[in-house]
Amino acid sequence: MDEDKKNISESGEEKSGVSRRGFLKGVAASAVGAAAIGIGGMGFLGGCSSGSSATSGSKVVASGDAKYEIINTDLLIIGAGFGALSAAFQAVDKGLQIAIVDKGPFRHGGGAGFNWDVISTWETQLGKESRLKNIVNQKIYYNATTTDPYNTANSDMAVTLLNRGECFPDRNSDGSIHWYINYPMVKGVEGSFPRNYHDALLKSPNVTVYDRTMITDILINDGQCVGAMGIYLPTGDFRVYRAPATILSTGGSCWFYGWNTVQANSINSTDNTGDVDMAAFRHGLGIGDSEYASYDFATTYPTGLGFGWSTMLNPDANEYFTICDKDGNRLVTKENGIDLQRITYDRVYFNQEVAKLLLAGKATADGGILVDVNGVKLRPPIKRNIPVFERFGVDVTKEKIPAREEMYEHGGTPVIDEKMMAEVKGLFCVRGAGVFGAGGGSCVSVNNRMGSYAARCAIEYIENMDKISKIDFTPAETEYARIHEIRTRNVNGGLRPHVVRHKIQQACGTCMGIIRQKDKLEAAAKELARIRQEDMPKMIVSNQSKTYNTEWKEAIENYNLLDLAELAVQATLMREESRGTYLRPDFPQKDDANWKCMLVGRLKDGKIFFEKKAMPEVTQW
Amino acid sequence: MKLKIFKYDPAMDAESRYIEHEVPFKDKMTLLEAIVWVHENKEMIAFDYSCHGRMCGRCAMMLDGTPVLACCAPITNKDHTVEPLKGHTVIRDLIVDKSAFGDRLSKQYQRIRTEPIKPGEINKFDAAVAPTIYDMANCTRCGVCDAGCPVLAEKPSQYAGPATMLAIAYRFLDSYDQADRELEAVSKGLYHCIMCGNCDKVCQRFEIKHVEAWKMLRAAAEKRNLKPSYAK
Repeated sequence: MDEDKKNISESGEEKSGVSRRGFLKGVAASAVGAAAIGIGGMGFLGGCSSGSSATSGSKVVASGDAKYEIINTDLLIIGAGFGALSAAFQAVDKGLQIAIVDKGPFRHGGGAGFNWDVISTWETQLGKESRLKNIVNQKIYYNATTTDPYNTANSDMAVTLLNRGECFPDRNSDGSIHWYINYPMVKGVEGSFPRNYHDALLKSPNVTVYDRTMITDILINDGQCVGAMGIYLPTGDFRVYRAPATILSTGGSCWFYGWNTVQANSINSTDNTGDVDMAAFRHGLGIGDSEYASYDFATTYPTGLGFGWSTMLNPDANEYFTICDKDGNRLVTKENGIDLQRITYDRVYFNQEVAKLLLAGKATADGGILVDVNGVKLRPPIKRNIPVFERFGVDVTKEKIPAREEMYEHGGTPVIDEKMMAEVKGLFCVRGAGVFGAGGGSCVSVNNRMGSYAARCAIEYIENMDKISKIDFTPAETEYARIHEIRTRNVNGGLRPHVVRHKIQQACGTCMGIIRQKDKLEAAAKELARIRQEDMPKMIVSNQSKTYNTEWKEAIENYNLLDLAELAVQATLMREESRGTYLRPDFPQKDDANWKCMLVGRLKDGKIFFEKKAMPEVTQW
Repeated sequence: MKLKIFKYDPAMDAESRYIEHEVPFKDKMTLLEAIVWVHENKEMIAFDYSCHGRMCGRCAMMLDGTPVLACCAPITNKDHTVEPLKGHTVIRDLIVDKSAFGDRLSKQYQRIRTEPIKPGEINKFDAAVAPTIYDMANCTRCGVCDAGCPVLAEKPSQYAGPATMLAIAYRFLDSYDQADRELEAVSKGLYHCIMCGNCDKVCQRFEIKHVEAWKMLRAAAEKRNLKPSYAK
């Protein structure tokens, strides 16, 4: 395997440099320099034809020398979560050499890098009802489901997951699987742990992982995505990944929603800041489902433990009986007008009904609820958290603990076609807009389903794509200049990145929960516009070293969080109805006549414009 | 309270140093809250966390010489010293490079079989050990147990450490695994462990019973006469 480091001096001359490797397994991707493009495995020549010199005529980079490595692969997968792993298993099963770029340390990044007790669910029959209640692109889901080799009939997904290292330790006394969910169309088990999949994937010699690497932009040549680029965080080195196709499978970003002492109002990962989705947005690609999110409730006390999934209590629709109003009385009851059957399968209904009760004066002073778990049988993973509270001198069986809604998933991803492809050729999005629609983001079973489908689509695309006749790395140099300007910016009265970030988070914290009031949305929109105009140019990094510079990373991410926050707030304001998992008190009803559509936000001349997009419906299930 | 924090940027600094800052204490404060306060109000510190809730293992570090997860470590109202997790190379300040450690564990956790599990086998599992394996599955691979292990510190070439041993125990109990895990445990130093229980003490996943697992592995090894001569 070759890996050339290319140095471009200010005069534009090329110098050879020293190879530096920061990845985990070194056997897979054939990485090449610019002058001699190598050929990847399986004869996929599309993105690997002989190229011309990449840097001829390259412009001088303002911040100094642009130094970057070029790494080649058959298929680039950005992200290492459920969707990305599903795509990766599919791709290596088809014989591709793949590169996985993970922002966090591999196995420890994003939601699947939480080694948590996940309830894995999957559909056991094809069905219109299973995942398609909201505005979901039914065609995509139909395509994925009918071609999925890993989940074909009754319980094949169980076999698939067991063969990816799972044990399913929740067993009956005879050793059989204890089904946590066992409906005609859906099955599910408690106690699945995603790191099993990371371990199992590494058995394949076709996988190279580039972790602790933050993708900051996609590489587009002539309307075609031919890779991505970003920073290897431990050293600050810039890397360009070249691939005939790129799969985007990073998690939903909830990090713009509120700020506490160490966390947003979210159990989600600090990693998930919508970096690549918003890079696509800045390239003019349409972004959909920005207004939608998924919510649970999370305890907020003690403050440091709040919104941490293994340090909190997690009352949701399944544990509705633990949810109390400000006076400590049960909130989700028949007496309060709630259909207790319906909440078990209709999360939109549950969230909106709770929102109505909170608005009607049942909320605590900070807009939340109280949680009472006294005498309640908790799910195993939540029960395991009780000793954590005890270490802080809190007895959750005696005290009612304050809680509020937490956003665990969010939409705001590129619009995709029926073959998972974004509005630029070669970029495939596992959780693209329309995959989960008003459900808000995605979930484990859908990521499993759509991940492998995205890989099949990407492979089909690679097999049929036109030869790339020319490669231009100028965008890499532009991006290099952009991110290093952020690092080296000097402004009098500069604002450190966390200051700017907390302003974004606080603006959205008032209006992006399950209750979204018009005046607060409008105030947030105004504040976000002010942050963009006044604060962002003043954002400075207090320490300019390139070594794992978390401030630099945070500053780059803030551009993405701000874009995402503006999309989310503005799309919510535009959608004058209550469809998703939130309530707009001024428009409490669903309005199919006007709003049964996706809202697609697009950047034109520095402004966001929205258009309505109808979603295809499937009748042949 | 005063927080003394390790600082080192190998690209800039000749050697490591400590910074000290007064931090306003509040009741039920976590170490992570204290570090974030210093970072935001005093000076930049490179530190890493993701889940802020005992799952990702990225905020493992040393508090007054003891390995902890900063996200769920209570901090008292007195002076404290915060250092990077022992046993790993420092990348910067409190961020260490655990990638080799993680790779070793991944390999150790891989199930070994002659052929894939078949549909007819999904309901075959030793129910008696299922609760234990369910507990063990919660390991965050944070490295706190290894950082607190006196044997690993003293004999790193003879004892693979508690994190690796737990991975062996996990697959030993896995009904679908077919490798010789007793032999593997012994060869990786099961009998070098002094059974001090420090791994149990420092681990933040309270359901994992390390020493119990080592006893179980030893019993299984001895049944097969695998006890090494140095342990007899």
